[in-house]
Formats: sequence, structure tokens, C-alpha cells
Amino acid sequence: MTGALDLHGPTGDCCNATPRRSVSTCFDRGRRRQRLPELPYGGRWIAGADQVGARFSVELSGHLLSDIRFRATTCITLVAYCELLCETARGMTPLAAMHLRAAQLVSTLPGVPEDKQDRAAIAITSLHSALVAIMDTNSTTTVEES
Amino acid sequence: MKVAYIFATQRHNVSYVLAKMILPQLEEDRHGVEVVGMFFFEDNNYVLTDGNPIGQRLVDVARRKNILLMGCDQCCYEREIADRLFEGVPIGCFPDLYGALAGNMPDQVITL
Repeated sequence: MTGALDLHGPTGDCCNATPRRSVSTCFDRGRRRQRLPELPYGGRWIAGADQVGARFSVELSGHLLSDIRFRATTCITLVAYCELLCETARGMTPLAAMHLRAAQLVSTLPGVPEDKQDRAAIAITSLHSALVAIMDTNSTTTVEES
Repeated sequence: MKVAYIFATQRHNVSYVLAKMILPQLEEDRHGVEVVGMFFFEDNNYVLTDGNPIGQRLVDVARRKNILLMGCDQCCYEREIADRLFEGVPIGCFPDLYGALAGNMPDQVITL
């Protein structure tokens, strides 16, 4: 999977208008999302070479990701990629979300200079860490319950 | 003395102060101080878009004199020009600016 993401889901825009997905608009929404408390299942803090990093937390409802949040260094590109991931992965199963790739983020959010595109990998790795946490917990629960 | 310019306000700054004062003086090697960097906020970033005639002169002199040029990342994204700047001109925020200037620190930072 390397093509652009199939984007869906409500993002808070009014009148059912399809929200614009530019770096700037994703950053604005991501900045608001960052103020929300973290969810029960959190991943590791993942940082790049320049100490820019992020940490995701997720919540599961049934088998689907019902909510996804993050904390990130104040880097507009990283926050925009993290927000795009939240909007994209919500409603997916954790396993499906594990298949999301950095190249998809890059192709879905145009206008990012090449030297900033490494932020997509930080966002993806950070989300994967939270997904691993929730899948580990759920597989343990399933074994214990059975 | 080494200086860095931060173009923070709009109106006449790029078309007048930069294009008609600073830039010609740099081109003629008579600015009086060593300029080590220029950072651009808000609409001032349009001067850094590839093809801008003032920007082209600025890039030329910056390459010749090893002057850092950087656009504010948030300002450039907001204007959807972040990937349309002159080759080699980065976008960034204060940590990027200070990091880029770390090896050639200015004695004065002048906000225009």
C-alpha cells in the first residue's frame, strides 16, 4: 500500500462539507486534538534524529479503533501527519491500521518539502507502537478469557 | 559584525527595505556588516518562491556570501508555498533557525 489514503470520517467541519486536507488545516485540527487527555492504550514516544517526536494513544470499541489521540513536538509537519493518521485510522481494526505506511501519508498530504517528509515515518512508527500495545493487551485478555 | 534579519512585519519590508536597500548593498559589497541569515514571516515568504525576481537576486547573493535564507514553516504551509521555494531554501521554525545559525552565530538579530 503506497497510494494516497482513502480518507473518511467526521473531522468537525460544519455543513457536512468535506474538510480540506492541507498541512495547515491538519495542523489546526491536530493542535486541538493534542489538548485532549490521553487514551487508555499508549505507545512509546518515538523521536527522530532531531528530537522531534510523537506518542499515540488509542481506544478500542469492539474490534475497531474508536478514538486516537497523540502528543507531539511542536513541529507543524509532524502534527499535521499525526492528525491525518488519527482521522484516517479511526474506525479501522488495529491490524488494518498497522498496514498504514509513511509513503501513504506523504502522498495524501501534498506540499511538504522532501526534507520534512521524514516526519511521516515518525508518526507511523509512533502509531504502530500504540497499536502493538492494544493488540498485546487484547490478545492476553482473549487468552485469559478462553 | 555579523547580523541576521528577521522580516516579521509586512507592508513595505520586502519590496522596499530588502529590495531597494539591503539587497543592492549586498550585491555591491557595501552593506557594512556581514549578513549571516534572513528569516521570513507571513507574506514576506512569497519572495522565496521559485521564480520571484527579487528572490532570485536574493538567492544569488546568498549563495555567493553564504547567507542562510529560511522561511517560516507555518507561514509557508498556510500559503501552500512550502514546496515551491527556491532550491536549497528550507522552511523551519525557531529551533531550525538557531540550529542552522549555530555554526555562524550573528552578533545582532534585527527584526524588520
